[in-house]
Order: sequence, then C-alpha cells, then structure tokens
Amino acid sequence: MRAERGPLDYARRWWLRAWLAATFLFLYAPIVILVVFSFNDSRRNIVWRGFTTKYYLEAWHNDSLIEAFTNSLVIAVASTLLSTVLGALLALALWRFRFPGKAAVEGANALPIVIPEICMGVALLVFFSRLDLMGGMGWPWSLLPVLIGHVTFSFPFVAVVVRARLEGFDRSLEEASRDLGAGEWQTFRRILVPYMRPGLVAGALLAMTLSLDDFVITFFTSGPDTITFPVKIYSMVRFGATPEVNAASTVLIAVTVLLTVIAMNLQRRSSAREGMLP
Amino acid sequence: MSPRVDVSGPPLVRIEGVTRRFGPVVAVDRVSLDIPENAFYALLGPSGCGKTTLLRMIAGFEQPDEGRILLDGEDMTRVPPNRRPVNMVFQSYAVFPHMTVWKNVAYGLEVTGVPQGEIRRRVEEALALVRLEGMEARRPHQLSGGQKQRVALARALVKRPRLLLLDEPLSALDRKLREDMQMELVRLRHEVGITFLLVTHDQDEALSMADRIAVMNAGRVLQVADPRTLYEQPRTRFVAEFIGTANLFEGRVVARCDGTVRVRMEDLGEVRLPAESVGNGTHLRLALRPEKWRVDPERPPAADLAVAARLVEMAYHGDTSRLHLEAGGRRLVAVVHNARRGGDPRLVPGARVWLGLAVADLVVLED
Repeated sequence: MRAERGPLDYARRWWLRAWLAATFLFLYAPIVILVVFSFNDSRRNIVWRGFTTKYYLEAWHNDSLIEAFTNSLVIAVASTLLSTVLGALLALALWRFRFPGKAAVEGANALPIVIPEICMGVALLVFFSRLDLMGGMGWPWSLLPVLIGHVTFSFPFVAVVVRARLEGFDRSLEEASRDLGAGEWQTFRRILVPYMRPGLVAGALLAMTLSLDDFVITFFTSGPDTITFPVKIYSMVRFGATPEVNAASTVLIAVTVLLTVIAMNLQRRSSAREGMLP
Repeated sequence: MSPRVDVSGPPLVRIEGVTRRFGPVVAVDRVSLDIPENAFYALLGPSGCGKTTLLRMIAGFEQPDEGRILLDGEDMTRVPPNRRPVNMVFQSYAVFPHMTVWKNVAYGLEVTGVPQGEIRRRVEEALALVRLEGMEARRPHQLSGGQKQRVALARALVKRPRLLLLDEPLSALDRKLREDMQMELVRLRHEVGITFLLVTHDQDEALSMADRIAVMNAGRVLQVADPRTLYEQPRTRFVAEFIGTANLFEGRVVARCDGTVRVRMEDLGEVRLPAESVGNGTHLRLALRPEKWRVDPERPPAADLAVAARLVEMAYHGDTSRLHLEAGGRRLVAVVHNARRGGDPRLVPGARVWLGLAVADLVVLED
C-alpha cells in the first residue's frame, strides 16, 4: 500500500515537481543566459568563447547609453516620489472620506491600470503635442512628458497598495491620539504616516520598477531628442543583440533586484517592530 | 451613599438633556446626569443602550444633537477632544503599535509641548503607578493584554486629566486578570484622586468598583444610585432583572388596615406590607432577590410567607448553588450558600422544600 498523502502533500508528486521545474526553467533560463552571455568574449550571443568584462566597459564608454541610463534614473526617481505622494493622498481620501462621486473616483483610479498601455501612449502623445510639450525644450525639461506619463500610470498602483494597508488601520488609534492632546496634523504625521509606511515603501518600489522598465508609454511620449534606457536597448537590439546589450540589461536587472532587496528588508524590519512577523 | 463622594458640591461633569441620534435611531435620549468630583462613576447597561455614545460625547468624539455637556461648569459641547481635560482608556486599548511603552506614555506630553525633563519625570511616575517599571523599551506586541491595558492607563493618567474615561476596560481580559485589574483600578483611583467614569455591561464590574452607578437602557437613564441601593432597592423591573437575578411577582392589594396593606401574590399567598398609599385592587409588581429565600426541607416557622416548592434543578457554583424551583405553577430561583461541604445533602432535584421570605426583603417596583 502507498503511504496516505495529505491534501497539502502535493509537492511529493513527481509530475508536479517536474512541472514546477519546467516553469522555473522557462521563467528564469532566458535571464540566466542573458547574464551569462554578457560575460562572453564574442561579438555574437551563440557560442561561449571565454570570460570577459570588456562589454561592460564598452557600455560604460557608450555615451548615448549612459545618457539614456541617466534619463531613466532621473525619471524613475522623480516619478516614484510624485506617484508615492499622489497615490498616498488619493488612498487617504478614498479611505477617509465619503463624498459624492466617490465610486466614480475609485473607478477612474483603476483606469490607468486596466487601459492598454499602447492606448495610454497614443493618448498622452496626442495630448502633449496639443500642449506643445513635445520637443523644443532643453534637458531636464525635455523629460517632462515622459515623467508625467510615468506618474499617470504609476500612482494608481501606489494608491491601491496604500489603500490596502489603510484598511487594517484601527481608527481608535487616531482617536487615542486626539484624546491625548494631538491635533489633526500631529495625529497624521505621528500615527497615520508611520502606520502607512510599509504600504508607502511597497508602493514606491512598485512605482520605481514600473518607471525604470517602461517601454511603450515612454516610446510614445519621449521627444525626438529624449531617450531612456529601455528605448535605447530596443534601438540597439534592432542592429543585432550584442553582448553590450546583455551587459546593459544585466545592470538594469541588478539595479532592480537591489532595490527590491532593500525594500523587502525595510518592510521586514517595520513588520517585526509591529510584531506581525516573528 | 458612599461617604467619600461629595454630591452636595457642584458636579465635575453635568450632562444636560443630551440627545444623540444616528439616523432614525436615538442612541442617547434626553439624558441628564451629574458626575460628582472624585467619584468612581459607572454607566451600566446592555450593549446598544447608549452608554458608549454618551462616553464618546464626553470625550468629544461625538457631538450631541441636543443638550450640553459641562465640565467644571464650562460648556465642553463644541470643544475638540484634544482640548478637553479628559482622557480615555479605549476598549481595544489603542496602544500605538509603532512606539515603545515609554513613547506611548510620553506621547500625550510630547504633542502638547511639555519640556523634556518634566516628561521624563512624569512618565517614570506614571509607569511606576501602573507597575510597568522595566518595560519602557518593550513594544506593544511584546506585551500581554493586561500589560497593554496598563500602558493605556499610564498614557491617560500621565496627562493628569480631570476625568478618566474607561470604555469597557476589562472586557478583553480573562477572568482572573479581570478581578486583579478591578482591584488595581480602585487602588489607582485612590492614589491619583482623579474622577473615573467607567462604561460597562458587566454588573459585577460596576457593583464591585463604582461608588455611583447609572443604569441605562434604550438611551435613557433608569436609576442612579450607589451599588447597594441599586441591588437592594431597584426601582424598575429592568434594573431588578439586569442587576443580579430577581423573582418577580404580580400582586394585588386585597385589604388595608392600620397603615399596612395585604397583598395577594399570585397563587403563592398573602403578605402584609407597610403602608403604601395605594387603594384596594391596585396591581403591584414585587421583586425578591434569590438569596433572600430561606430554603428549608421543613416548614419555616418564622417566615412572613412560606411557599411549598419542588426543586427542579440545581446548578453548583462552588461558593453558592442556584436552585430552580417550581411552586404554584411558576418557576422560582433561589441561591443558597454552600458554607458547609457540598451544602445541604437533602437538596436534590425532585425534593420537596419550603421557601420562606421576610416582607422586608420584598421590593415594590414602579413599573
């Protein structure tokens, strides 16, 4: 007789394990290969010829690539700050107040999340052209259309995350603070904001990664002279996927992973402080 | 009336005809109360009776639709909660989860700009008062329910309020801890000399801690008295049944003579009550506390009224036993003390017993 399996013992079935392995393979093998071949001493990404870091140096000396990277970072940082503030304020308003048309605001809030990016891109392009924002301005103002585009699709995500966090807030904490002599603003700053912090961090991280790797909307809203990292990589790939592209992509992956690790650590620390984790 | 509480002077809190509605529901209905200085005052009533709403209006979290709330003679009705010399211990404790015990207690002083040196001194004092010394650096999640409660108390007391509000403060604690905390609260009040206003649905809590109790039901105050009066002389049927247990009887005045009236109590018999200005035929409702019955296997010779009854059921509570009896076609409840081991061995279900009562123990209710 075979040993009884509990309902949660499915991980012991061989075919499930195989399925799991296959999933991981398809998800991560391309990334692993991309990273590995960024160190390949060959112009083409086919055969392993030996270890080198020269493509990283090449990428480093590629001025337009560095410019694109700088643009991406500037846009990502600015977009993250703006989206986090706007998203948090929207979440607070939706959580705290009842007002006419609240359902409509909530629905409109979800729109940028569900609208196809290509449509958003076209819409923003038309809109910015109308406002004469496309082109003709010097750096960093030339990044403004892209920045506005990024904030537009990032802040609803922040709002969703922060709102979810606020749902668990015990309103009597706010009352206790008022009762102890704190005004509305003090209560907001000293009680509500610390409580929101994990949501803010998670939302900011989301906004950061969304902005860093956005291609479609950036492609439409960047003017003729503006180029961001993903757009630059795309244009490089059109002339063949060189190890330089691999190197640049690896750097982007490293930055994203690093940010995620930092944010997760922050989250863990604040959760441990509140006793939600052992 | 408790000797410590001076009800003759001006009250600390005066509630004047306060009404609060939530939509069609009248949560608090034209309530007027005086809370004397230095009292341990309790608002007692079932859930939904409006006691918490009244408390929240005193704290400033709710606005009365009608009426005024005065503190020290000053109208507080429109004063925001952070400007009232009143502090509250919340039912959920509401201890700030992201702050240490020390920070929690210091919070109320920091936000009002008390100098650092004074904050240190007063927080230390408050922590000592609730016996939390050595816990300063702990975070709320490392505390037990009882300890959180103490933090909430210290946090409120450190503000030296004129009035401390306690919203069902013991309901989340287990029984043993609850009893300890009851003693602790009484001790605290003596030490700090602050007026306490307790909201509770637990009659034991109110009776054992408070020196004045206002019983509320359906938004109205039914009776205000000290615990003994409330228990021994409930004015209405609701009070008699909500506080402790009561045997209720319908009675009818059948004769009057020499300043007394003879009252016929359903099918149980007749008693002679001291003069009441009531006419023949008047209906009365009488109440008797279950422990006032004298339960005896033999007919008691000295009782004013003796009723033959059958013991139906018996619940053993350790110190006492609760007897469910049947007499004259109705149910009665009696409580006997088990001072001797196991109580009287003749008291077994099915036994025939006699119930004796003294007229002095009967309470005539108003409704």
